[in-house]
Amino acid sequence: GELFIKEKKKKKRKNFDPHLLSDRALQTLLSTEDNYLPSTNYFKCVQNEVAPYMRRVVATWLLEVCEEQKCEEDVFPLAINYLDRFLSIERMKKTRLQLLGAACMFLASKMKETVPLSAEKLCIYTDNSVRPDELLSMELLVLNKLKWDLASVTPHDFIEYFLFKLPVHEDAKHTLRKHA
Amino acid sequence: GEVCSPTLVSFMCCKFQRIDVSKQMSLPMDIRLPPEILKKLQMQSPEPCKPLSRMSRRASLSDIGFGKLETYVKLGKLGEGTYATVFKGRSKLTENLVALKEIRLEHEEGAPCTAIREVSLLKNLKHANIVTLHDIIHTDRCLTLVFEYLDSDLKQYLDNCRNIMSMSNVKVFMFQLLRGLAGELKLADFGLARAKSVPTKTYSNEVVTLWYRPPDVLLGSTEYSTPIDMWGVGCILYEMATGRPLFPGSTVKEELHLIFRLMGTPTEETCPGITANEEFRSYLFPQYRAQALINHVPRLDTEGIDLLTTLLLYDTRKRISAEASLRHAYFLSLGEDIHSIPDTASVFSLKDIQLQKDPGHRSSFDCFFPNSGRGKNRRQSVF
Repeated sequence: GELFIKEKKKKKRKNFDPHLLSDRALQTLLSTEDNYLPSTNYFKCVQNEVAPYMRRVVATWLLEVCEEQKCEEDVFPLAINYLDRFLSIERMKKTRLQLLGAACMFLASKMKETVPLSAEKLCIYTDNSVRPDELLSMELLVLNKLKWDLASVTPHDFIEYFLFKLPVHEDAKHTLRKHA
Repeated sequence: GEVCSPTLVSFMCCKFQRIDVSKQMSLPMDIRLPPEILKKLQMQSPEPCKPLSRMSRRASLSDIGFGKLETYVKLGKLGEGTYATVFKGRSKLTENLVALKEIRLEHEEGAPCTAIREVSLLKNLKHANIVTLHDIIHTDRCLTLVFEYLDSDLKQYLDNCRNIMSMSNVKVFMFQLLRGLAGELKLADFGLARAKSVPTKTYSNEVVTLWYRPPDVLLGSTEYSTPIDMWGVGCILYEMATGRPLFPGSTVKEELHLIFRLMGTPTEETCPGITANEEFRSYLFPQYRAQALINHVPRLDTEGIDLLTTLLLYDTRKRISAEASLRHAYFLSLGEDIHSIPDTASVFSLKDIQLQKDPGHRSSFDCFFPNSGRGKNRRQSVF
């Protein structure tokens, strides 16, 4: 795993298109967000093994992978959105939760990144407890269950709008963006 | 791995209408269910914690044939690409012609990112001037996207009228294109625009040309921004008005050269930051002066020339946006009502908006010059 950790990523960062910072755009964003919200009570209603603390473990792991791989900032919240939406409709064994998390991350990276994470790399991050072929079939299951509806609105999408409204300097915005 | 640069796909899904097609069936989410199916579903007990409506809707859509391969009959292959094959087909549900895009899902890296983006973005789009995705069928190894079938694109249209379009039709088509792009901008509002990739192949598998790419992209910019599309719109306005492509370069260098020769070699004044661009400097282009566009597009009126000029600005911050261009003086003659029709309605739902007979249209032309050899297909299209 260390080999990959040391690997430096050469990625071109994308900038936010200033043409999109209109109030109408914000309204659209708000109303679209509703279509992608997970259920809030799936631990009680859908799952019988998966508990909140397990979700936290998987989420922490995903965040670490994102940070180490220097993923785009929107990849992590997007992966979590897929995870929650999947768990809202499909019962999952706790032993397959990391596999699910990896598949969600795989998909979020494909949605957002110029150079998406490879299946092999993700499997290495699971300490090889997940095989690439398992990851690929879980990917298809997630796509199928989420009906290929992956263009979710996440909290991250609102940051630029809020910063745009704030009367602060560009440098301060950079700091705020980092800590949002 | 697979590299997906963040640029545009807009032109691939913009469509032009010659007739009102408001009767077409839309995405399954919106369909009204036959009462007998609803009744049947209401007898089944719903699972706890799930709203009945969604469940019943899901099951019933499948009952009437959505999401099933059997619902569509393949009629013939339209094109084949590295990750997809496109067939012409017919829907047994509606008897309408459809385009079936089959995407293979078995790759080393799983589902192609282009497919994931295409499907999730198109699912959110409903606009009279953007191609409609009717249905999605996910089988074991394959994903089939069912699109409305478009029988003619702009390229075929231009060929058919031997490159002489009525100027009033040019205006109506331009308006539709810009409407489609403004609709696209609404999609971009969702923050999705960045998830697009550079198309290398079109819907029908033709290689995408450099002809509609702005200089900033040709010079290596990978930054997605909406003005990228607007440059291409300018190229298309020129092409419709003159019957020939504006900058038909076959290499990046030639493409830039053609652009600079007409629009002038960019300077710090016309294109801030250009003198620091390594790639630009390495080409060592001569210092061309900008030429007057009116001499090249004599059929276009003053307002049209003004719109074309603002579409072809080097400075992306000054280049006109799709929304602003819909309000440009060039379109004043289309009337005020055209701005208030809903996204999903065609511009031809207004009785004042009608297409004129094109002066070069084949059927009228043929009576007089049955063997004239014009209109030969020498164009590559982005559509």
